[in-house]
Amino acid sequence: MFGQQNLSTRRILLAWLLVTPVVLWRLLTSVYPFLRTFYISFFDNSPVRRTFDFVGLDNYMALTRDTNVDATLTFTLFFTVTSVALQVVLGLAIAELLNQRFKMRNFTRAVNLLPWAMAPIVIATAARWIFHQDYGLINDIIWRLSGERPLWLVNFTTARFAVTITDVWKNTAFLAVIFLSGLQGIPLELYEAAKIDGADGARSYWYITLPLLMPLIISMIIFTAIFRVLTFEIVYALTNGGPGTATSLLSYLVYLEGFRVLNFGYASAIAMLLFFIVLIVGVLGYGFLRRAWERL
Amino acid sequence: MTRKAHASQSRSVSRRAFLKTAGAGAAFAALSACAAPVAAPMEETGGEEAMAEPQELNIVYWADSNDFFQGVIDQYQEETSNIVNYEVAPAVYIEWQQMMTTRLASGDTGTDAFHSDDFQAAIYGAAGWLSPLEPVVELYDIDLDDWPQTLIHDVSSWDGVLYRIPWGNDTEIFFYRTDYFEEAGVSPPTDWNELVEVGTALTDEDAGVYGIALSATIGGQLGNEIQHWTNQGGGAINNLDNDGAREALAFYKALYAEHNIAPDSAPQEDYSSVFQGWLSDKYAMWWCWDGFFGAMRTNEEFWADQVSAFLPPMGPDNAETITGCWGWSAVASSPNQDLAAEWVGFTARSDVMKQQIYRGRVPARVSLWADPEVQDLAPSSPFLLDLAEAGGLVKARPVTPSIQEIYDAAEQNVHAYLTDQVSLDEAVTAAMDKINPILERDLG
Repeated sequence: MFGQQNLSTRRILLAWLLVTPVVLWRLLTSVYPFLRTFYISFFDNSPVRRTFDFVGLDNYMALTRDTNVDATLTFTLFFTVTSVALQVVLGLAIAELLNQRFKMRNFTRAVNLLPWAMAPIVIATAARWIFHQDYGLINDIIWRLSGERPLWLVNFTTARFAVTITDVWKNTAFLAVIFLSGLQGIPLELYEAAKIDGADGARSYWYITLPLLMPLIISMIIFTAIFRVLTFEIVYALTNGGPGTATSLLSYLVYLEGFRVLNFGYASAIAMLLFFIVLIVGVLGYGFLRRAWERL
Repeated sequence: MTRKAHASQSRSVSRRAFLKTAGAGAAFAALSACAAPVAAPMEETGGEEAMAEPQELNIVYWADSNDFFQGVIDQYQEETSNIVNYEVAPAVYIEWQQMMTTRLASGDTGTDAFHSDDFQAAIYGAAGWLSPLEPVVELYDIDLDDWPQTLIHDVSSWDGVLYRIPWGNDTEIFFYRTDYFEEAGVSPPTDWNELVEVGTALTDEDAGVYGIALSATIGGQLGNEIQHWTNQGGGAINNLDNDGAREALAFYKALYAEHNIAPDSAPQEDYSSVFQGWLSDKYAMWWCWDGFFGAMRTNEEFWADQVSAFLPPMGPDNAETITGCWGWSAVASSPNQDLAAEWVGFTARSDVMKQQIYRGRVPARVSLWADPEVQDLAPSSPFLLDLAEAGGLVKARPVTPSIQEIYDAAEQNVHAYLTDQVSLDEAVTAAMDKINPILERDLG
């Protein structure tokens, strides 16, 4: 008995020994930076001004008065909801298409992934030219058809559309592949049984495909929404947050305050706001996910 | 490579190579914030004995577009027997600034000296990351009177301490297409009213030609536009709440929104796209950094007699333009302080500084501007000389340690006005609500 206990203890100790480096690494690279950011958010900390003064909740109060934060939160919400909705709907549609039998299907599946495989900064930089009034590909087509040259990145609404659609174009491919794997996991017998019962394609999709895919869809909505809230590169390279602050996202605001003007304290407060938004999205998403699993 | 060889090389450059060089030069000039620290010339002061053991100097130089700088390094190595490790910084200004900020904030010991701009001198100087250069000036007997004083006092120093010695001059000049002016039968405008009249005569929207180019995208370039236009109205980027600045901003917007002498895409144009448009014959006038002018004129075959410059038209308050520079700063955390000082001193020498003409740039020392070789290879130098002789026509940007924050606040709000999201009053009020506390913090 004692021998068994010793063996068990030794195994536990060995297990801890093996995972300790990883745990320490994660503590060092994730938990410490998080706690440090939280701590700094209560200070007026600027290396340029050589300040590290405790200011309590001042940085958080400043968030409530900052018009940039208002504008940024508004666009972050718009961008997240619109982009996620479009990506999920288009992703499901593309997945359905890629799940059909046709020639060069594997090649098409690979091509579908190309936008996702490209670096966001590259896509955003290219998009900056694509949306340019005079030299842009999009305006060239529109001009040939209508003689008009819209000012995509000057107009408030179209600039928001440009940022969103660029993000959707880049990332929908990934969702499509994930949904495709989900579709392939649904037993064909279910569709055959439905067909015998007289269900057409639309009803099968509604009553079989969607319910069975729902946990996967919710999972992807959670991840995609979190990534959208954290998006940075597209705004950085495509619009610089403009016109004005119309396309500024929270992570871009953190970058501006933290790395451009070196207000580490205030940037940390914005980062904590970002964290709580991601936390809320995660918790709500998890709740939906659990219910979806329970229904299955 | 000899100086003659450099000159010969620049003259025989192909059109394709020129365009590549011009593009790189444009990107370089584009985001110019200018200003740098310098040190004393070893040869002029008798120099120091070469060390018995060669030492290694680590420098960072931003966005060189040809091999002229290697010649500078070779000369330094020959004279001192030291070894220079030369790192090319990222060409994108913001990336470059972040790279240096990260290094300096972490107490970097791997960089001894670097090519710094107007913003960096004040920001990093105030943070204590740069070495004061007064001892270098004294050691190498540098005559700072040979520099435009606004560059020395307003953008290379902070709180009375010199952190950079200017090396390459950058001044915004009004350049124009002489052939367009001749064809339209107009002369360079002398005030804002004439600017609109001349611009209107030069604009042919059907042909895709506009009287004036504006680069009003946010990210630094709109900030420069705000500064030089509001300055002529009697304001500044950190002083927008007055009639002069308001008039200037309204006038600026009217150039594309009302008079249509600039494309309505102005709020999204950056230096790169404007320069591309200039090369595509889209614009007749452009008020921008003289580095672009050099890039246009250094290829004599392509741009001969098509481009010239005039003194800025008179605004409601003055006819000033903005100036700045790039220069050399010594890193405070460098373990090689003497070596860094020696490099700064070396680059401050007239003969060394002059080598920038092989890339079409004007050296920062005023005494070099009348040099025929400088006037030949750095074609904006005669216009800078005109500005200098006219007196009081150049003014550095109002740089303080929080200048980036001020630029961001002004740009975001003015851009919202330029793109019809808010009124002028709303934009000015919102901008100054942010800028005033910053100024109070910086200036007390």
